[in-house]
Amino acid sequence: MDPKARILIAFLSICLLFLILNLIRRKRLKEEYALLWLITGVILVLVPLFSDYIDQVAHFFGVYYEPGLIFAIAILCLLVILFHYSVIISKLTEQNKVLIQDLALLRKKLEDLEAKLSNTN
Amino acid sequence: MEMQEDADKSRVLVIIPAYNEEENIGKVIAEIRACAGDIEIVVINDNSSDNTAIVAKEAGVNVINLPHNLGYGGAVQTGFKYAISKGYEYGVQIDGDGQHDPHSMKDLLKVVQSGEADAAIGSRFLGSIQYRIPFFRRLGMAIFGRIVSWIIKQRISDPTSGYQALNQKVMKFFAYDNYPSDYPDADTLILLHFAGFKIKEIPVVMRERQFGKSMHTQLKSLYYIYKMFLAIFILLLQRKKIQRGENNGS
Repeated sequence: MDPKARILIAFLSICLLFLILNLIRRKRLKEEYALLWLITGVILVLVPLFSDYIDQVAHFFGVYYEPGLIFAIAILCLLVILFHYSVIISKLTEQNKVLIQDLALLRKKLEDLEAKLSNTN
Repeated sequence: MEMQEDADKSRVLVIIPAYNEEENIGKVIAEIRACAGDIEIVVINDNSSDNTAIVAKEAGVNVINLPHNLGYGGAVQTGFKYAISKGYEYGVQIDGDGQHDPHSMKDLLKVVQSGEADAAIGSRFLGSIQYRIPFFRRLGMAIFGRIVSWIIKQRISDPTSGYQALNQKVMKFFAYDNYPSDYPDADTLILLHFAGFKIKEIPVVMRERQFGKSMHTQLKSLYYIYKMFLAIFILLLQRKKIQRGENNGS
């Protein structure tokens, strides 16, 4: 891989890592959700440093267009992150349902109590 | 004898999930009253954009307003939670669109009150259908009916029926963990069976809905088929776990 390309990729990846760390520092991103992004960021920093080895690995697996393997790694990282989101969304949907139900039930209880109070007064 | 009957009635809660049913809900409530006297009724208003809540309230029944739309299952489940918190021993689910003839209610209740079964499912195919079911929906019902019957080794003719009477044990089972929020259906029957509950189908009368659109559209039918196959497959994988009672909510 051309050194210029390596520097560019490493630079962008380091920017990404800084962005993630800064968001965590400002409490805009929870550590739990930052984990996969940090792993992705570190992998992307390492890719230009070890691109010669990656080329060898690519050849070993019969991938003759080397950047193809890098794309594959990046896409795999993104898939894992998206999948993680689907799991989180499912959990949030369930929690949301319970909250909606309990809120409605509490409102009903409150209405009944208020009606009872105004009857006794 | 009359006292006995009254006492029984006071332990029953009729649960009506309703989404935009202002034109039907009043009539449904009036009909239930005509059949079952002063039975306790709760309408779960699933964040309707029309006057469903007002109409129900004016009819003098309990109304629970969900602040967001949860879908049929989420609304019915709210009814189970309410029934348990109030100590009702039996629950009857009736749709808010007028499709379920309340005259069949006492037949469903009799089965659970006598302890003959934990859940009584109203079957339109054993009873009578006074409307036309779209072809694909009918096909889906037939296929899933076969699958359910085969898995639970008991003939189920109407797996999609939302007209049911349940005892407190089943309501507790459903109130927290085990109820899907979109369409409780063939999969819920299998779940009940695996968890050791007794199910019985009872003939009921189902009619054409009075006003408005049905919740079942073509696209939803496709989603329904996907959802059922997946849900049943997952249930079969979890069979042992359910039989050991590990997802009883605790």
